[in-house]
Amino acid sequence: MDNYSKYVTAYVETFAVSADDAPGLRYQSIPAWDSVGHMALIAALEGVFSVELDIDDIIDFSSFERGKEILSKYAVVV
Amino acid sequence: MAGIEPSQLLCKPRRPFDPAVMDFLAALSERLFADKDARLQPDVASFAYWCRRSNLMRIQREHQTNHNCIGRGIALHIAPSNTPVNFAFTYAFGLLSGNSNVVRVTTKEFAQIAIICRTIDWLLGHDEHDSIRMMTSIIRYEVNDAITAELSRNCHVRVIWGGDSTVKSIKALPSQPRCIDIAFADRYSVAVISADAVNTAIEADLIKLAEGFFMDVFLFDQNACSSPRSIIWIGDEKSVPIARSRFWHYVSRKVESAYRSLPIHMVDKYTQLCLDSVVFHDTVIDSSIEGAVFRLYLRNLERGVDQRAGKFGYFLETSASDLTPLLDFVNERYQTVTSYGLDRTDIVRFVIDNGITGVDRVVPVGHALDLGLTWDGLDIISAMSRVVSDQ
Repeated sequence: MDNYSKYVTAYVETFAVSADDAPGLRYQSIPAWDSVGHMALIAALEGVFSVELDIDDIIDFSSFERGKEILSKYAVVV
Repeated sequence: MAGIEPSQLLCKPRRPFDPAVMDFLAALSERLFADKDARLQPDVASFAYWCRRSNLMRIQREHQTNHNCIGRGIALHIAPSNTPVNFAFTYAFGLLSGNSNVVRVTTKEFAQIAIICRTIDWLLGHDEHDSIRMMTSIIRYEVNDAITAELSRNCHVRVIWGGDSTVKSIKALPSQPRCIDIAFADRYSVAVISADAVNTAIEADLIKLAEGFFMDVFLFDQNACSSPRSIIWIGDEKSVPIARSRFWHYVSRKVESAYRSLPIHMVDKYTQLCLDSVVFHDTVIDSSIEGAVFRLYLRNLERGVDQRAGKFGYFLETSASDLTPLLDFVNERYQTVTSYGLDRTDIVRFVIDNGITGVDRVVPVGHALDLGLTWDGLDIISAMSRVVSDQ
């Protein structure tokens, strides 16, 4: 699976959304992406891409799009 | 609750961060995140988040463990009754430092405890985690000195949570001469917030800030040692009033939608507001009651403010142009500073350079409750293990 598919799959599995809906998501734009959902998402992404996100990046991880930019800092090109 | 009887525990300590322990805790994290009941409990999710594999690996890397380090043997943990998930953290600390563990959990019924114990027991039923089963005994009994005394006789470390009175009563029970007590006393915590940062934040950031503050305070009814009881605004007479009104607007909105204060707690808060208005009458500027949030705004905080700890949404506030006034009242009871819009390393440096006896922790707002292996200023892994020296 390529990085983009892995990235989308993390959203699909964590928030139970469709792959088509994932790209528009923002923090709190759906009930599932609340503070608890946020932790589940970060845990899933760290596992999938074998990275350890910095605490400030975890706070800054506010949308599907912003997440791609943050991951690029960890040499993960989505 | 989970694991085996205390008397059956294997006393065969391991190195800190043993691979079998890491595998077990990472599996526990995954299992909890996959559990629908667990997802409904923010504190269970926080624990699952903490013991995810990447975080354990980070902790291991950051911990300069001596290679000739080993656990002490059997650890007895007395978990507190105010924060239900604490028992799971202290159990994980015991495992990570290489010890077998007897964990006494509170007899108060909490869904969080049931969910985590059920998950631990399920994992321990699998062959790959059999070695961890021999290191695990999570039990529950009414406060009973005879039982605790018996357990105390057979352990090498006691980890005592629950504040001053519990620490006193457990320390009074004899243990082996070499047994080490790690005791967590009552503490007091504050939030330090930059008025300028609040005033320049966009709405989405203010909502996030209010959410984080809400979690820090209301998840455990402001009962946790690390939940802020006072708020110190950094700014001037122009910026602080604007920042306060912005901040409390969003906090109140969050509290209104997600927190219910019992009538008795409303009365308690009202009573405390009246009493504190008398105690601090020289410095009171104003007071406010908005839904469940009670506030008293003071010209300055003074010594003894830590003895007047608010609960269920009760805050003392003050403002200052910089951190200097903290020197007047911060003592060894101060534990966590949650900060917003300020450089945390500056605050840490301020504490050390000024030789302050308190403040063990400076974290962003929203992270007050993140229990970690450095707690109350103690490196728990080092405290719970020993070094076999060849010098």
